[in-house]
Amino acid sequence: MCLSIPAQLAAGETGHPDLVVAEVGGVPRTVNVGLLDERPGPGDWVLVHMGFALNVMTPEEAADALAALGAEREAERDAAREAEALHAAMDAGAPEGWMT
Amino acid sequence: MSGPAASGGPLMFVRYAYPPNALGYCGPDDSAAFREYAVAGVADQGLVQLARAFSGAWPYLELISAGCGIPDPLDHRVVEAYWVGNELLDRVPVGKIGDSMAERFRQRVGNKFQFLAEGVLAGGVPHHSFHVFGVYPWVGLLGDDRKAKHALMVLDRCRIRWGTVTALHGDQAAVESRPLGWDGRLLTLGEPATEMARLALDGTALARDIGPGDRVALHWDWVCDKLTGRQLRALRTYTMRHLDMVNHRVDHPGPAAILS
Repeated sequence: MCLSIPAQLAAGETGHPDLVVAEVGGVPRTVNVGLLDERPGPGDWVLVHMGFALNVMTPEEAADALAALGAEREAERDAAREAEALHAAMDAGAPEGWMT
Repeated sequence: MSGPAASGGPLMFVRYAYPPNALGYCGPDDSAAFREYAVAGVADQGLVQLARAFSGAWPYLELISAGCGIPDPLDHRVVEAYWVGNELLDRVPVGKIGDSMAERFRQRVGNKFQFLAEGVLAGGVPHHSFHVFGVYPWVGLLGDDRKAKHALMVLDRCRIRWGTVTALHGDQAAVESRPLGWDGRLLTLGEPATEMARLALDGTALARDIGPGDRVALHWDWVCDKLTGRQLRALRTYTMRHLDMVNHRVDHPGPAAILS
């Protein structure tokens, strides 16, 4: 999430004209839409970075970006699982070359 | 991974990465679990898994460790290099930095990747300030009068700042530092100003034993670490290098606007 991420605006009041509620990575977050030329509404997709909406996205653009992020995260999870397995094997004193 | 020596890098990572994580900007969704590691002072595989969820920082740690022949991306030297700066940064081959950037961003930005690569060719190294000034979209937004104020705020809070503690007020510290300024053409450090920064939340401090006169690192609204003289010089050096890069040595500053 230190990189820009698509978020879908949800209904809900924040009490501030520039702040809205959005689902960011499945988590409800407050997002500032004050930098956008036009205020988006519930259901719209925006690209969020550091709590600010930087662009409005079409649903297709959001889907593409989320798919790319999902692929990256799956690759990260695979790498983490491999690292964990390696550490577990080292802790258990596995013989050299156990993975080959 | 256990014991004081081995835990130094992972816990240093928590100190610097927690502030944006608590705001929901980076890393794992469960920031309370992440902060618990700062409380417990124990580094284990659970912490390593959480650290990997920082999609901005983690690839730089992998790049520094691989580029310097250090097996563990959470080795203290590697973590210090990324957040504060040290001699490892200039040992990472330029080609490896370029390859890492291409792997992360080329598919997203297509033929505009050349703009991102400008920073690497201009001497950028895998320090947090490189990511803030050279990759994030905010420098590119400074040219828009309506967005400049917010962009400058994000850039200043997101970079690792340094300052001197002048007083303590409960869980807050008064810290004198030089805020980032924008004159319409250049990013510079302004005149010293005092700000209040968080020392602890619910009894949990990221930096311990802080007192007046200490030189500290600040990230977002937190005092996240006490700096040695060597670390202060390194943080200043690498921050100024990347400010100079974005001010004078690239043709398209703020290229990550194209990531949008």
